[in-house]
Amino acid sequence: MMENLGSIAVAPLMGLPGITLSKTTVKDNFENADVQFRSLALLYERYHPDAMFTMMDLSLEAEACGIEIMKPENRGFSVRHHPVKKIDDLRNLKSPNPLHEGRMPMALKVIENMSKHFDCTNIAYVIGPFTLACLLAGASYAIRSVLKDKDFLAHILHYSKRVIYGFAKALSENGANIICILEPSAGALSPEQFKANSAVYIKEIIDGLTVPVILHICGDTNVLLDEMVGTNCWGISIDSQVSVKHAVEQIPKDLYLFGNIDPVNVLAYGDFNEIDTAVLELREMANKRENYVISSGCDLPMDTNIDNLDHFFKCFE
Amino acid sequence: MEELKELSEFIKSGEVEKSVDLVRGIIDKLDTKKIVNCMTESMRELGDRFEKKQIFIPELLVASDVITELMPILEPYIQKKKMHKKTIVLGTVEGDMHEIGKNIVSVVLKAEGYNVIDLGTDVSSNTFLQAASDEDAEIVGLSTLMTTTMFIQRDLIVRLNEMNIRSNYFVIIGGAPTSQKWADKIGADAYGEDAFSTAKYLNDMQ
Repeated sequence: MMENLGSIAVAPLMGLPGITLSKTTVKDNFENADVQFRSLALLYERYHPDAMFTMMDLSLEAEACGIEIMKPENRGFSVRHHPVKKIDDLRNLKSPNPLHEGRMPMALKVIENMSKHFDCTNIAYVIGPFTLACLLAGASYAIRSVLKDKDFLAHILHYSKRVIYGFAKALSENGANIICILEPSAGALSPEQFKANSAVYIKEIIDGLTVPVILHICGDTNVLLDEMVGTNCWGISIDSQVSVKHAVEQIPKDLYLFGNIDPVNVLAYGDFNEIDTAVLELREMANKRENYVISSGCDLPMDTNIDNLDHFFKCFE
Repeated sequence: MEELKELSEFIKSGEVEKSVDLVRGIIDKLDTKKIVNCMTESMRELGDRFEKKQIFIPELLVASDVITELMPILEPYIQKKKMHKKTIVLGTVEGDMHEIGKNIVSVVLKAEGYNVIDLGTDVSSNTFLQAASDEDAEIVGLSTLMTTTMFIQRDLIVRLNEMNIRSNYFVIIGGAPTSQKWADKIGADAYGEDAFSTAKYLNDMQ
Protein backbone atom coordinates (compact mmCIF):
# COMPACT_ATOMS: atom_id res chain seq x y z
CA MET A 1 0.00 0.00 0.00
CA MET A 2 1.64 3.27 1.10
CA GLU A 3 5.00 1.61 1.86
CA ASN A 4 6.14 1.56 -1.75
CA LEU A 5 5.51 5.22 -2.28
CA GLY A 6 8.85 6.69 -1.27
CA SER A 7 10.59 7.48 1.96
CA ILE A 8 8.03 10.04 3.11
CA ALA A 9 4.47 9.67 1.96
CA VAL A 10 2.43 12.85 1.45
CA ALA A 11 -1.34 12.84 1.10
CA PRO A 12 -3.37 15.81 2.36
CA LEU A 13 -7.14 15.41 2.71
CA MET A 14 -7.82 17.53 -0.32
CA GLY A 15 -10.69 17.42 -2.75
CA LEU A 16 -12.48 20.74 -2.51
CA PRO A 17 -9.53 22.80 -3.86
CA GLY A 18 -9.97 20.76 -7.04
CA ILE A 19 -13.26 22.57 -7.50
CA THR A 20 -11.37 25.86 -7.66
CA LEU A 21 -8.98 24.39 -10.22
CA SER A 22 -11.78 23.06 -12.40
CA LYS A 23 -13.81 26.28 -12.04
CA THR A 24 -16.91 24.24 -11.29
CA THR A 25 -19.34 24.29 -8.35
CA VAL A 26 -19.69 22.14 -5.25
CA LYS A 27 -23.10 21.01 -6.47
CA ASP A 28 -21.71 19.89 -9.83
CA ASN A 29 -18.94 17.95 -8.12
CA PHE A 30 -21.17 16.30 -5.54
CA GLU A 31 -23.76 15.24 -8.10
CA ASN A 32 -21.80 14.45 -11.23
CA ALA A 33 -19.12 11.74 -11.19
CA ASP A 34 -17.39 13.05 -14.31
CA VAL A 35 -17.11 16.57 -12.90
CA GLN A 36 -15.79 15.33 -9.55
CA PHE A 37 -13.30 13.05 -11.25
CA ARG A 38 -12.07 15.91 -13.45
CA SER A 39 -11.56 18.14 -10.40
CA LEU A 40 -9.66 15.39 -8.61
CA ALA A 41 -7.64 14.69 -11.76
CA LEU A 42 -6.50 18.32 -11.84
CA LEU A 43 -5.20 17.93 -8.29
CA TYR A 44 -3.58 14.60 -9.11
CA GLU A 45 -1.85 15.88 -12.22
CA ARG A 46 -0.65 19.01 -10.46
CA TYR A 47 0.73 17.35 -7.31
CA HIS A 48 1.04 13.59 -7.76
CA PRO A 49 0.43 12.87 -4.07
CA ASP A 50 1.03 9.40 -2.68
CA ALA A 51 -2.68 8.96 -2.14
CA MET A 52 -5.80 10.63 -3.47
CA PHE A 53 -9.04 10.91 -1.54
CA THR A 54 -12.51 11.27 -2.99
CA MET A 55 -14.37 14.50 -2.13
CA MET A 56 -15.56 14.70 1.45
CA ASP A 57 -19.36 14.71 1.37
CA LEU A 58 -20.95 13.84 4.69
CA SER A 59 -24.52 13.92 3.36
CA LEU A 60 -24.21 11.13 0.83
CA GLU A 61 -25.16 8.15 3.00
CA ALA A 62 -28.00 10.03 4.72
CA GLU A 63 -29.51 10.91 1.36
CA ALA A 64 -29.32 7.28 0.27
CA CYS A 65 -31.26 6.40 3.43
CA GLY A 66 -34.06 8.66 2.22
CA ILE A 67 -33.26 11.85 4.15
CA GLU A 68 -33.88 15.21 2.47
CA ILE A 69 -30.68 17.08 1.69
CA MET A 70 -30.01 20.77 1.06
CA LYS A 71 -27.86 21.21 -2.00
CA PRO A 72 -26.62 24.77 -2.34
CA GLU A 73 -24.65 25.63 -5.45
CA ASN A 74 -21.32 26.37 -3.82
CA ARG A 75 -21.07 25.07 -0.31
CA GLY A 76 -21.29 21.67 1.34
CA PHE A 77 -24.50 19.68 1.27
CA SER A 78 -26.30 19.20 4.56
CA VAL A 79 -29.26 17.34 5.98
CA ARG A 80 -32.47 19.39 6.09
CA HIS A 81 -34.48 17.35 8.62
CA HIS A 82 -33.61 14.64 11.10
CA PRO A 83 -36.77 12.53 11.16
CA VAL A 84 -35.67 9.51 13.20
CA LYS A 85 -36.84 10.12 16.75
CA LYS A 86 -37.97 6.64 17.77
CA ILE A 87 -37.13 3.06 16.85
CA ASP A 88 -40.21 2.68 14.62
CA ASP A 89 -39.04 5.65 12.49
CA LEU A 90 -36.24 3.45 11.16
CA ARG A 91 -38.88 1.56 9.17
CA ASN A 92 -39.39 4.66 7.04
CA LEU A 93 -35.77 4.65 5.93
CA LYS A 94 -34.45 2.80 2.92
CA SER A 95 -31.98 -0.06 2.97
CA PRO A 96 -29.86 1.50 0.27
CA ASN A 97 -28.36 -0.62 -2.48
CA PRO A 98 -25.13 1.25 -3.31
CA LEU A 99 -25.54 0.41 -6.98
CA HIS A 100 -28.83 2.26 -7.24
CA GLU A 101 -29.62 4.55 -4.33
CA GLY A 102 -29.07 8.31 -4.19
CA ARG A 103 -25.60 9.48 -5.12
CA MET A 104 -23.91 6.25 -4.08
CA PRO A 105 -23.57 5.08 -7.74
CA MET A 106 -21.95 8.44 -8.52
CA ALA A 107 -19.39 7.88 -5.75
CA LEU A 108 -18.71 4.36 -7.07
CA LYS A 109 -18.05 5.78 -10.53
CA VAL A 110 -15.63 8.38 -9.12
CA ILE A 111 -13.54 5.78 -7.30
CA GLU A 112 -13.65 3.48 -10.33
CA ASN A 113 -12.24 6.27 -12.50
CA MET A 114 -9.63 7.11 -9.89
CA SER A 115 -8.45 3.50 -9.77
CA LYS A 116 -8.20 3.40 -13.56
CA HIS A 117 -6.36 6.68 -14.03
CA PHE A 118 -4.46 7.58 -10.84
CA ASP A 119 -1.24 5.71 -10.24
CA CYS A 120 -1.40 6.10 -6.48
CA THR A 121 -3.31 4.74 -3.51
CA ASN A 122 -6.97 5.67 -3.98
CA ILE A 123 -8.96 6.26 -0.84
CA ALA A 124 -12.74 6.53 -0.62
CA TYR A 125 -14.58 8.17 2.25
CA VAL A 126 -17.57 6.79 4.09
CA ILE A 127 -19.25 8.34 7.10
CA GLY A 128 -19.01 6.74 10.55
CA PRO A 129 -21.96 5.07 12.28
CA PHE A 130 -22.34 7.59 15.10
CA THR A 131 -22.12 10.50 12.68
CA LEU A 132 -24.77 8.93 10.45
CA ALA A 133 -26.94 8.40 13.54
CA CYS A 134 -26.50 12.12 14.33
CA LEU A 135 -27.65 13.03 10.83
CA LEU A 136 -30.66 10.73 10.98
CA ALA A 137 -31.82 11.70 14.47
CA GLY A 138 -30.25 15.14 14.85
CA ALA A 139 -26.93 15.58 16.63
CA SER A 140 -28.44 16.86 19.89
CA TYR A 141 -31.02 14.08 19.91
CA ALA A 142 -28.45 11.36 19.25
CA ILE A 143 -25.92 12.70 21.73
CA ARG A 144 -28.61 13.11 24.38
CA SER A 145 -29.57 9.48 23.71
CA VAL A 146 -26.05 8.38 24.70
CA LEU A 147 -27.21 8.99 28.27
CA LYS A 148 -30.99 9.01 28.07
CA ASP A 149 -32.09 6.43 25.49
CA LYS A 150 -29.44 3.82 24.86
CA ASP A 151 -31.84 1.31 23.33
CA PHE A 152 -32.98 3.77 20.64
CA LEU A 153 -29.40 4.71 19.88
CA ALA A 154 -28.33 1.08 19.59
CA HIS A 155 -31.06 0.44 17.01
CA ILE A 156 -30.10 3.44 14.90
CA LEU A 157 -26.40 2.53 15.15
CA HIS A 158 -27.07 -1.03 13.95
CA TYR A 159 -28.96 0.37 10.97
CA SER A 160 -26.18 2.89 10.26
CA LYS A 161 -23.54 0.19 10.43
CA ARG A 162 -25.37 -1.91 7.83
CA VAL A 163 -25.70 1.05 5.45
CA ILE A 164 -22.05 2.04 5.82
CA TYR A 165 -20.75 -1.49 5.48
CA GLY A 166 -22.69 -2.04 2.26
CA PHE A 167 -21.41 1.22 0.79
CA ALA A 168 -17.80 0.65 1.90
CA LYS A 169 -17.84 -2.86 0.44
CA ALA A 170 -19.15 -1.53 -2.89
CA LEU A 171 -16.47 1.19 -2.93
CA SER A 172 -13.76 -1.40 -2.34
CA GLU A 173 -15.18 -3.58 -5.12
CA ASN A 174 -15.09 -0.58 -7.45
CA GLY A 175 -11.45 0.26 -6.94
CA ALA A 176 -10.89 1.83 -3.53
CA ASN A 177 -7.56 0.62 -2.16
CA ILE A 178 -8.43 1.99 1.25
CA ILE A 179 -11.63 3.12 2.95
CA CYS A 180 -11.46 6.16 5.21
CA ILE A 181 -14.21 6.29 7.82
CA LEU A 182 -15.08 9.86 8.84
CA GLU A 183 -16.59 9.93 12.31
CA PRO A 184 -16.55 13.64 13.33
CA SER A 185 -19.54 13.50 15.67
CA ALA A 186 -17.83 10.92 17.86
CA GLY A 187 -15.39 13.62 18.90
CA ALA A 188 -18.06 14.73 21.38
CA LEU A 189 -17.89 11.48 23.33
CA SER A 190 -15.88 10.18 26.26
CA PRO A 191 -13.66 7.15 25.58
CA GLU A 192 -16.25 4.82 27.13
CA GLN A 193 -19.11 6.43 25.22
CA PHE A 194 -17.08 6.28 22.00
CA LYS A 195 -16.33 2.61 22.52
CA ALA A 196 -19.99 1.72 23.11
CA ASN A 197 -21.56 3.97 20.47
CA SER A 198 -19.03 4.08 17.67
CA ALA A 199 -15.91 1.93 18.00
CA VAL A 200 -17.70 -1.43 18.33
CA TYR A 201 -19.69 -0.72 15.16
CA ILE A 202 -16.64 0.54 13.29
CA LYS A 203 -14.78 -2.62 14.27
CA GLU A 204 -17.58 -4.76 12.83
CA ILE A 205 -17.41 -2.78 9.56
CA ILE A 206 -13.63 -3.13 9.40
CA ASP A 207 -13.71 -6.83 10.20
CA GLY A 208 -16.12 -7.41 7.32
CA LEU A 209 -14.05 -5.55 4.71
CA THR A 210 -11.10 -6.92 2.77
CA VAL A 211 -9.41 -3.54 2.26
CA PRO A 212 -7.60 -1.51 4.94
CA VAL A 213 -9.48 1.22 6.78
CA ILE A 214 -8.31 4.60 8.06
CA LEU A 215 -10.30 6.16 10.87
CA HIS A 216 -10.55 9.96 10.97
CA ILE A 217 -12.20 11.94 13.76
CA CYS A 218 -12.08 15.73 13.64
CA GLY A 219 -10.92 17.87 16.53
CA ASP A 220 -9.09 17.02 19.73
CA THR A 221 -9.14 13.22 19.91
CA ASN A 222 -6.21 12.81 22.31
CA VAL A 223 -8.41 10.92 24.78
CA LEU A 224 -9.93 8.67 22.10
CA LEU A 225 -6.73 7.36 20.50
CA ASP A 226 -6.61 4.10 22.48
CA GLU A 227 -10.18 3.25 21.56
CA MET A 228 -9.58 4.25 17.95
CA VAL A 229 -6.68 1.79 17.84
CA GLY A 230 -9.03 -0.86 19.25
CA THR A 231 -11.21 -0.77 16.12
CA ASN A 232 -8.66 -2.86 14.19
CA CYS A 233 -8.17 -0.01 11.75
CA TRP A 234 -5.13 0.06 9.49
CA GLY A 235 -4.46 3.73 10.03
CA ILE A 236 -5.53 6.71 12.10
CA SER A 237 -5.86 10.24 10.79
CA ILE A 238 -5.45 12.95 13.41
CA ASP A 239 -6.63 16.55 13.31
CA SER A 240 -4.35 19.50 13.99
CA GLN A 241 -5.53 19.80 17.61
CA VAL A 242 -3.95 16.44 18.45
CA SER A 243 -0.37 16.43 19.66
CA VAL A 244 1.66 14.46 17.11
CA LYS A 245 4.11 13.46 19.81
CA HIS A 246 1.26 12.06 21.90
CA ALA A 247 -0.22 10.29 18.89
CA VAL A 248 3.13 8.72 18.00
CA GLU A 249 3.43 7.38 21.54
CA GLN A 250 -0.15 6.13 21.71
CA ILE A 251 -0.53 4.56 18.28
CA PRO A 252 1.27 1.23 17.71
CA LYS A 253 4.03 1.39 15.12
CA ASP A 254 2.36 -1.11 12.82
CA LEU A 255 -0.55 1.29 12.32
CA TYR A 256 -0.32 4.12 9.81
CA LEU A 257 -0.60 7.62 11.21
CA PHE A 258 -1.94 10.43 9.00
CA GLY A 259 -1.68 14.07 9.94
CA ASN A 260 -1.78 16.76 10.88
CA ILE A 261 -0.92 20.13 9.35
CA ASP A 262 -3.46 22.77 10.30
CA PRO A 263 -5.69 22.83 7.22
CA VAL A 264 -6.97 26.35 7.76
CA ASN A 265 -4.39 28.49 9.52
CA VAL A 266 -1.45 26.98 7.69
CA LEU A 267 -2.40 25.31 4.42
CA ALA A 268 -5.43 27.35 3.37
CA TYR A 269 -4.70 30.84 4.65
CA GLY A 270 -1.18 30.72 6.09
CA ASP A 271 2.05 31.95 4.52
CA PHE A 272 4.99 30.01 3.10
CA ASN A 273 6.98 30.36 6.33
CA GLU A 274 4.20 28.76 8.33
CA ILE A 275 4.01 25.91 5.82
CA ASP A 276 7.78 25.43 5.94
CA THR A 277 7.75 25.28 9.74
CA ALA A 278 4.88 22.78 9.84
CA VAL A 279 6.43 20.59 7.14
CA LEU A 280 9.81 20.60 8.88
CA GLU A 281 8.24 19.45 12.14
CA LEU A 282 6.31 16.64 10.49
CA ARG A 283 9.27 15.58 8.33
CA GLU A 284 11.28 15.06 11.49
CA MET A 285 8.48 12.95 12.88
CA ALA A 286 8.15 11.01 9.63
CA ASN A 287 11.87 10.29 9.63
CA LYS A 288 11.65 8.90 13.14
CA ARG A 289 8.52 6.81 12.70
CA GLU A 290 7.68 4.28 10.04
CA ASN A 291 4.17 4.27 8.68
CA TYR A 292 3.75 8.01 8.94
CA VAL A 293 1.93 9.90 6.19
CA ILE A 294 2.20 13.68 6.12
CA SER A 295 -1.31 14.96 5.68
CA SER A 296 -3.63 17.77 6.65
CA GLY A 297 -5.47 17.59 9.96
CA CYS A 298 -8.80 17.76 8.17
CA ASP A 299 -10.37 18.59 4.83
CA LEU A 300 -8.99 21.67 3.06
CA PRO A 301 -11.47 24.50 2.41
CA MET A 302 -12.49 25.16 -1.18
CA ASP A 303 -10.83 28.58 -1.24
CA THR A 304 -7.47 27.19 -0.08
CA ASN A 305 -4.74 29.34 -1.55
CA ILE A 306 -3.46 27.25 -4.47
CA ASP A 307 -0.04 28.93 -4.20
CA ASN A 308 0.13 27.50 -0.68
CA LEU A 309 -0.68 24.00 -1.88
CA ASP A 310 1.93 24.37 -4.65
CA HIS A 311 4.48 25.44 -2.05
CA PHE A 312 3.52 22.59 0.30
CA PHE A 313 4.13 19.95 -2.37
CA LYS A 314 7.35 21.64 -3.54
CA CYS A 315 8.70 21.06 -0.02
CA PHE A 316 8.82 17.34 -0.88
CA GLU A 317 10.36 17.53 -4.34
CA MET B 1 -30.80 25.70 51.22
CA GLU B 2 -31.71 22.04 50.76
CA GLU B 3 -33.81 22.78 47.66
CA LEU B 4 -30.95 24.53 45.92
CA LYS B 5 -28.58 21.64 46.63
CA GLU B 6 -31.17 19.32 45.16
CA LEU B 7 -31.64 21.60 42.15
CA SER B 8 -27.91 21.61 41.53
CA GLU B 9 -27.84 17.81 41.51
CA PHE B 10 -30.83 17.69 39.14
CA ILE B 11 -29.14 20.14 36.77
CA LYS B 12 -25.88 18.24 36.77
CA SER B 13 -27.60 14.93 36.06
CA GLY B 14 -29.90 16.38 33.40
CA GLU B 15 -33.18 15.81 35.23
CA VAL B 16 -35.43 18.20 33.36
CA GLU B 17 -38.85 17.40 34.87
CA LYS B 18 -37.60 17.20 38.44
CA SER B 19 -35.78 20.52 38.04
CA VAL B 20 -38.81 22.27 36.58
CA ASP B 21 -41.11 20.94 39.33
CA LEU B 22 -38.65 21.99 42.00
CA VAL B 23 -38.18 25.52 40.65
CA ARG B 24 -41.92 26.04 40.21
CA GLY B 25 -42.29 25.08 43.86
CA ILE B 26 -39.67 27.47 45.20
CA ILE B 27 -39.77 30.45 42.87
CA ASP B 28 -42.24 32.44 44.96
CA LYS B 29 -40.47 31.61 48.19
CA LEU B 30 -36.84 32.21 47.27
CA ASP B 31 -34.90 35.17 45.95
CA THR B 32 -34.68 34.55 42.17
CA LYS B 33 -31.07 35.57 42.23
CA LYS B 34 -30.29 32.55 44.43
CA ILE B 35 -31.89 30.20 41.91
CA VAL B 36 -30.03 31.84 39.03
CA ASN B 37 -26.80 31.65 41.02
CA CYS B 38 -27.46 27.97 41.65
CA MET B 39 -27.81 27.39 37.89
CA THR B 40 -24.67 29.39 37.22
CA GLU B 41 -22.63 27.56 39.84
CA SER B 42 -23.87 24.16 38.67
CA MET B 43 -22.87 24.91 35.08
CA ARG B 44 -19.50 26.27 36.23
CA GLU B 45 -18.87 23.05 38.17
CA LEU B 46 -19.67 21.07 35.02
CA GLY B 47 -17.36 23.42 33.12
CA ASP B 48 -14.49 22.57 35.46
CA ARG B 49 -15.14 18.87 35.06
CA PHE B 50 -15.40 19.27 31.28
CA GLU B 51 -12.06 21.08 31.20
CA LYS B 52 -10.48 18.24 33.17
CA LYS B 53 -12.04 15.76 30.72
CA GLN B 54 -14.02 14.14 33.52
CA ILE B 55 -17.25 14.70 31.62
CA PHE B 56 -17.96 15.21 27.92
CA ILE B 57 -20.51 16.79 25.58
CA PRO B 58 -23.41 14.38 26.39
CA GLU B 59 -23.30 15.36 30.08
CA LEU B 60 -23.15 19.06 29.19
CA LEU B 61 -25.99 18.68 26.75
CA VAL B 62 -28.43 17.12 29.20
CA ALA B 63 -27.54 19.74 31.81
CA SER B 64 -28.11 22.45 29.20
CA ASP B 65 -31.54 20.95 28.53
CA VAL B 66 -32.43 21.64 32.15
CA ILE B 67 -31.28 25.27 31.96
CA THR B 68 -33.20 25.73 28.69
CA GLU B 69 -36.41 24.59 30.40
CA LEU B 70 -35.80 26.66 33.51
CA MET B 71 -35.07 29.95 31.73
CA PRO B 72 -38.66 30.68 30.60
CA ILE B 73 -39.80 30.17 34.20
CA LEU B 74 -37.13 32.49 35.55
CA GLU B 75 -37.11 35.05 32.74
CA PRO B 76 -39.96 37.25 34.04
CA TYR B 77 -38.22 37.50 37.41
CA ILE B 78 -34.85 38.18 35.76
CA GLN B 79 -36.40 40.98 33.65
CA LYS B 80 -38.14 42.46 36.68
CA LYS B 81 -34.97 42.58 38.70
CA LYS B 82 -32.87 43.82 35.75
CA MET B 83 -30.36 41.04 36.26
CA HIS B 84 -29.23 40.95 32.62
CA LYS B 85 -25.67 41.65 31.65
CA LYS B 86 -24.84 42.57 28.03
CA THR B 87 -26.72 41.46 24.93
CA ILE B 88 -25.08 38.96 22.59
CA VAL B 89 -26.33 37.80 19.21
CA LEU B 90 -25.11 34.28 18.67
CA GLY B 91 -25.33 31.81 15.84
CA THR B 92 -23.67 29.18 13.67
CA VAL B 93 -22.51 30.70 10.41
CA GLU B 94 -24.09 30.17 7.01
CA GLY B 95 -23.60 26.73 5.51
CA ASP B 96 -23.08 25.07 8.87
CA MET B 97 -25.97 23.27 10.59
CA HIS B 98 -24.05 22.29 13.74
CA GLU B 99 -25.82 23.47 16.84
CA ILE B 100 -24.61 21.65 19.91
CA GLY B 101 -21.59 23.80 20.78
CA LYS B 102 -23.49 26.98 20.01
CA ASN B 103 -26.46 25.82 22.09
CA ILE B 104 -24.26 25.06 25.06
CA VAL B 105 -22.63 28.50 24.77
CA SER B 106 -26.11 30.01 24.63
CA VAL B 107 -27.25 28.17 27.75
CA VAL B 108 -24.10 28.88 29.75
CA LEU B 109 -24.25 32.59 28.90
CA LYS B 110 -27.94 32.71 29.83
CA ALA B 111 -27.13 31.03 33.13
CA GLU B 112 -24.47 33.70 33.61
CA GLY B 113 -27.10 36.40 33.12
CA TYR B 114 -26.48 37.53 29.54
CA ASN B 115 -29.31 38.48 27.23
CA VAL B 116 -28.66 35.91 24.52
CA ILE B 117 -30.30 36.31 21.12
CA ASP B 118 -29.79 32.86 19.62
CA LEU B 119 -30.12 33.08 15.84
CA GLY B 120 -29.78 29.32 15.34
CA THR B 121 -27.75 27.60 12.66
CA ASP B 122 -26.97 28.38 9.00
CA VAL B 123 -27.18 32.12 9.79
CA SER B 124 -26.30 34.50 6.98
CA SER B 125 -24.00 37.47 7.57
CA ASN B 126 -26.91 39.78 6.77
CA THR B 127 -29.01 38.17 9.50
CA PHE B 128 -26.18 38.58 12.01
CA LEU B 129 -25.77 42.25 11.10
CA GLN B 130 -29.49 42.97 11.18
CA ALA B 131 -30.01 41.22 14.51
CA ALA B 132 -27.01 42.93 16.10
CA SER B 133 -28.44 46.28 15.08
CA ASP B 134 -32.06 45.49 15.98
CA GLU B 135 -31.18 44.07 19.38
CA ASP B 136 -28.67 46.78 20.17
CA ALA B 137 -26.16 44.03 20.89
CA GLU B 138 -22.71 44.69 22.27
CA ILE B 139 -21.36 41.23 21.41
CA VAL B 140 -21.54 39.08 18.28
CA GLY B 141 -20.74 35.39 18.68
CA LEU B 142 -19.91 33.34 15.58
CA SER B 143 -19.71 29.57 15.76
CA THR B 144 -18.67 27.02 13.16
CA LEU B 145 -17.67 23.38 13.30
CA MET B 146 -16.38 22.99 9.78
CA THR B 147 -13.11 24.00 8.17
CA THR B 148 -15.10 24.66 5.02
CA THR B 149 -17.23 27.41 6.60
CA MET B 150 -14.65 29.11 8.83
CA PHE B 151 -14.01 31.74 6.21
CA ILE B 152 -17.52 33.11 6.85
CA GLN B 153 -16.37 34.27 10.29
CA ARG B 154 -13.65 36.23 8.52
CA ASP B 155 -16.06 37.59 5.91
CA LEU B 156 -18.43 38.97 8.54
CA ILE B 157 -15.60 40.90 10.21
CA VAL B 158 -14.62 42.25 6.79
CA ARG B 159 -18.25 43.37 6.32
CA LEU B 160 -18.23 45.15 9.70
CA ASN B 161 -15.05 46.96 8.71
CA GLU B 162 -16.41 47.94 5.32
CA MET B 163 -19.55 49.32 6.98
CA ASN B 164 -17.43 51.29 9.49
CA ILE B 165 -19.25 49.66 12.40
CA ARG B 166 -16.56 47.24 13.51
CA SER B 167 -15.94 49.14 16.75
CA ASN B 168 -19.64 48.85 17.68
CA TYR B 169 -19.34 45.16 18.40
CA PHE B 170 -17.12 42.81 20.34
CA VAL B 171 -16.74 39.80 18.05
CA ILE B 172 -16.02 36.46 19.65
CA ILE B 173 -15.57 33.31 17.56
CA GLY B 174 -15.62 29.64 18.43
CA GLY B 175 -16.07 26.10 17.15
CA ALA B 176 -13.89 23.00 17.02
CA PRO B 177 -11.59 23.95 14.12
CA THR B 178 -11.12 27.58 15.23
CA SER B 179 -8.35 28.81 17.48
CA GLN B 180 -6.77 31.92 18.97
CA LYS B 181 -4.50 31.92 15.94
CA TRP B 182 -7.50 31.99 13.62
CA ALA B 183 -9.13 34.74 15.72
CA ASP B 184 -5.94 36.81 15.43
CA LYS B 185 -5.70 36.15 11.72
CA ILE B 186 -9.22 37.36 10.95
CA GLY B 187 -9.26 40.22 13.46
CA ALA B 188 -11.80 38.82 15.91
CA ASP B 189 -11.71 40.30 19.40
CA ALA B 190 -11.63 36.96 21.16
CA TYR B 191 -11.65 33.21 20.76
CA GLY B 192 -13.85 31.11 23.00
CA GLU B 193 -12.38 27.64 23.31
CA ASP B 194 -15.59 26.36 24.86
CA ALA B 195 -18.75 27.70 26.48
CA PHE B 196 -17.14 28.15 29.85
CA SER B 197 -14.03 29.98 28.70
CA THR B 198 -16.32 32.22 26.61
CA ALA B 199 -18.38 33.06 29.69
CA LYS B 200 -15.28 33.66 31.78
CA TYR B 201 -13.77 35.91 29.14
CA LEU B 202 -16.93 37.98 28.81
CA ASN B 203 -17.42 38.14 32.58
CA ASP B 204 -13.88 39.39 33.06
CA MET B 205 -14.61 42.15 30.56
CA GLN B 206 -17.67 43.42 32.43
